[in-house]
Amino acid sequence: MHDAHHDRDTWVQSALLVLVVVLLILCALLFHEYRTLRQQDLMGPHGPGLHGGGATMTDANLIQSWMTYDYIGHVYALPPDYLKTTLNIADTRYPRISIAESAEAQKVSASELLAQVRSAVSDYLVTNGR
Amino acid sequence: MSSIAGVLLSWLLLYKYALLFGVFFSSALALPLPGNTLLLAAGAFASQGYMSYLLVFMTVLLGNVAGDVAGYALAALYGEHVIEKLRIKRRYFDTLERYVAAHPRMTIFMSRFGGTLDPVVNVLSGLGEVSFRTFIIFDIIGNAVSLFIVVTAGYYLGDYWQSFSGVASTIGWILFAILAAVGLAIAFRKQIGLSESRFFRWITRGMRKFMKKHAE
Repeated sequence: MHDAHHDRDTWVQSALLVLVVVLLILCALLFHEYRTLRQQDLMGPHGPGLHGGGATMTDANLIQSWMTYDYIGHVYALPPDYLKTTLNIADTRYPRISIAESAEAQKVSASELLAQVRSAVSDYLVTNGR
Repeated sequence: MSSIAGVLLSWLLLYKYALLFGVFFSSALALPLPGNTLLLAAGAFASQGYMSYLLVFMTVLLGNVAGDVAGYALAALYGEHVIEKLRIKRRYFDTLERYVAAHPRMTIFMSRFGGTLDPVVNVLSGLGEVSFRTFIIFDIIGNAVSLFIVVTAGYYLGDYWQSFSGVASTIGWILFAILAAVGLAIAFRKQIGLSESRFFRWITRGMRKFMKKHAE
């Protein structure tokens, strides 16, 4: 009986100790992430962090492969068929399809198609003075 | 970004509120899904005019509360039967259950900030003597506050929310670890001698004063 109690006490103390160690690691991770954001100029009074989303986005590098053409067209204010014609997309699901799915359907790598989309959007933004 | 998060983000763009409801209902039932990332993203999409801020907030609140109520109801209806069937020793969670029954408001409210912890509290509330009225009131208040913070953070971060998703997830885990450590310390305070320590007495005295002041 005494042993069982002792075992449980040790278990609880160990669990608490593990949680405290995990907490310290997480705090260190948070500090590291904060420093990375500061280095990228995303925090502080001049960073874009707390300025909210604009009516339109102007940085094509923010495009990711999980984004759909519909969303990209909306946030970069592109004409409805701009990406379809520029990238020769024949998929009938356009624009309600993500870049990753589109790449799979076209049998090209997602990173390759992502680069093409970024380039096409970037060209559009430059042509339209944004 | 993990592949699950990537797929869910694509689905969020395609199915919007239906996907949000499904994810938050499921995660309230302990399914491990990246809810905070989706919420931060939905807030950002709302700031870009792709989704509605109010609809995002109402949908996730409804999904989370519905999932929490389902967890509470399942525990209240079948909890004892399952415990008996699986031959789980009651004493393993008796202390926690008693604690939740003695301090239901604070426990339910605080656990809404602890991610994976809230399904545990839902089950303990359903098994114990927490009334449905108390449960639902503090579940709605806790969820409303915690969800509002994340959706609004996403809304203000806007286009750059992706850079901050790592920070948001780390903060979520820190809250989880703090609440889990506090829960463990409370449940086993006698066994580990915390009740005798000056520090614990100081903390409980402070909490009692705070609760008394706010109850008046």
